[in-house]
Amino acid sequence: MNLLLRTSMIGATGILLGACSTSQSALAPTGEQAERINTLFWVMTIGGGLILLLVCILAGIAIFGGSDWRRRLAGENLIKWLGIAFPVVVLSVLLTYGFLVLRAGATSTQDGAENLRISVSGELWWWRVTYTDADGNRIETANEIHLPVGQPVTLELTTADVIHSFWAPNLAGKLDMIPGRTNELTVTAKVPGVTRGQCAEYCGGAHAFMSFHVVAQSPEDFTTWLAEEASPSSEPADAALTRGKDLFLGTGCGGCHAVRGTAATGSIGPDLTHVGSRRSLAAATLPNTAEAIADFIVNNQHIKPENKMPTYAMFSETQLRDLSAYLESLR
Amino acid sequence: MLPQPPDLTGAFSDYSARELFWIVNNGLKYTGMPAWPGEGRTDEVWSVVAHLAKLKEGELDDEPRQVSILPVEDDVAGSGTLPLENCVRCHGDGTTGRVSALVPQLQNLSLPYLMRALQEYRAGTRSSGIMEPIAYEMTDAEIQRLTRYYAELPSVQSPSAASPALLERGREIAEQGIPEQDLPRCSSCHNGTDPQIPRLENQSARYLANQLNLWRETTYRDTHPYGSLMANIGKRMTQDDARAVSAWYASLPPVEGVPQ
Repeated sequence: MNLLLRTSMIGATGILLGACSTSQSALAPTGEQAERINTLFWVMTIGGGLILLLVCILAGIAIFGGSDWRRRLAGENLIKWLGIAFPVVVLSVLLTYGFLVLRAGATSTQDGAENLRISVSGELWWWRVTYTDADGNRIETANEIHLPVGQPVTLELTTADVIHSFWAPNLAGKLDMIPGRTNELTVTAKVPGVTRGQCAEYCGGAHAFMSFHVVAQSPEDFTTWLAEEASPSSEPADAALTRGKDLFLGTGCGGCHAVRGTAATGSIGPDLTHVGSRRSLAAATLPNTAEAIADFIVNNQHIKPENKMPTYAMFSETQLRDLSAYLESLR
Repeated sequence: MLPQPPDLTGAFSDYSARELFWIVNNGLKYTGMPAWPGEGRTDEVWSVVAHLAKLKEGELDDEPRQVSILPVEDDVAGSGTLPLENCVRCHGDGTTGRVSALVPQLQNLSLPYLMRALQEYRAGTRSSGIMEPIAYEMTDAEIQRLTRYYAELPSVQSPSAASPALLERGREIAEQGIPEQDLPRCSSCHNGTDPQIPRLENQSARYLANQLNLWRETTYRDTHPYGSLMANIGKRMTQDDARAVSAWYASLPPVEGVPQ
């Protein structure tokens, strides 16, 4: 069942992505910084195209034109004006324009107020996302970045191991995550909605499976979401879920994963307190369903080769069902 | 046997320790000398080499040997004396405790775990040049009786001595893990919930450290699904971590009432 399920899942994900191809595209900006990049891209592309056209025309004249035209082209004035003056002016203008558009050196804050800060740490091969609420509590989640629309947010980018690169093309340009450094990226989401991003620096075998979702929502929705995220996990509602919870705590899952409100306090893998409410599983690799959770517990080394989670192949069908149902119920 | 096997007391006069290791590990082609049956168990091969070194020194005759009392009649009736004798020779019995610090103390391990270990040795999926041939000869009934015998023996507190600093480091690893090395705490699995996962309290420190070090060896492959899971985790420990955590678990009193 597993191979078939997985193949069909990958297929389904591919079709989904094909259908909404703007969910991960720098050409469909939903954030202020990406809009500037988009503008700059089109100005450069169209400008460069026009210059290329001009060069082609001149080359065409030089080859096929009459002797009169060719004599004019061979004159020194053409070198002076089109060869020296024109590039100096155009490149200077473009450089200044580029700096202005990208606001190089400027930090974007709102009315001098402190930006919301979210720390994102790249790990092999997932994203640890930590929010700090007004009281200074740290709320950890994974592979999903929620942003309030219209507010500049500073992302503190770090890495736990190798060099990764944070790239949410609909929001902003990419920025590397370098060991021992904290790089800051300020983003301002303008349109509510879900977009996708991924690691843009080859970081090892499962690099391609290191993606995330960006959820831009209204400031009210964001506050509600953060409050929910900060709450401890829900108690299992029925006997099957309780059995799942006991399995989770008894067979070592809590050594690496935390589920706040239980004895599971591990910090090596992603925090699973509200894993059921996320949009994907395993860094946007699988859909977030109980079947996919069960699949990942048993086949994670096939789905994401060499990831740090060991294969848990000892569970019976029923145990696996209870365990994955419990995790899925953590909303 | 043809050719005549050479006298082992002279092994060290002809070969160095490294050469003897190679011979015991790989065997000698076109002679009667077989390779070591447990793949990747270099620790066992080194034990044999160490034994050969002792043979040369001629120390063996002075060593006192414990005479084991076989409780054949009462406990393992019908299974024959040979298999139990095989167990007792290294693991001891109710009165002697284990004979060598290199082997696990079987008292206080759960019945399902002991049975699985023997079945894996018998199937050749768990590697040991000593346990595999012994388990290969055992029937299901013998495995059942012998494991029950050991699981029901009263636990024996074995002596262990280690420096307080080492024990403290071991306790930290056992109870908190080493997050920067991606090492979860030992107690997240070895907590007595799942009878298939062995309890480590009062286990021989040398045996535990040796097992932990084995998982870092590239040639040693442990059994799917339990052993391979631990192999994944064991690789994240250094030799010093292994020594500390083994000393800590060895220093703990045995836990009564192991889930069966």
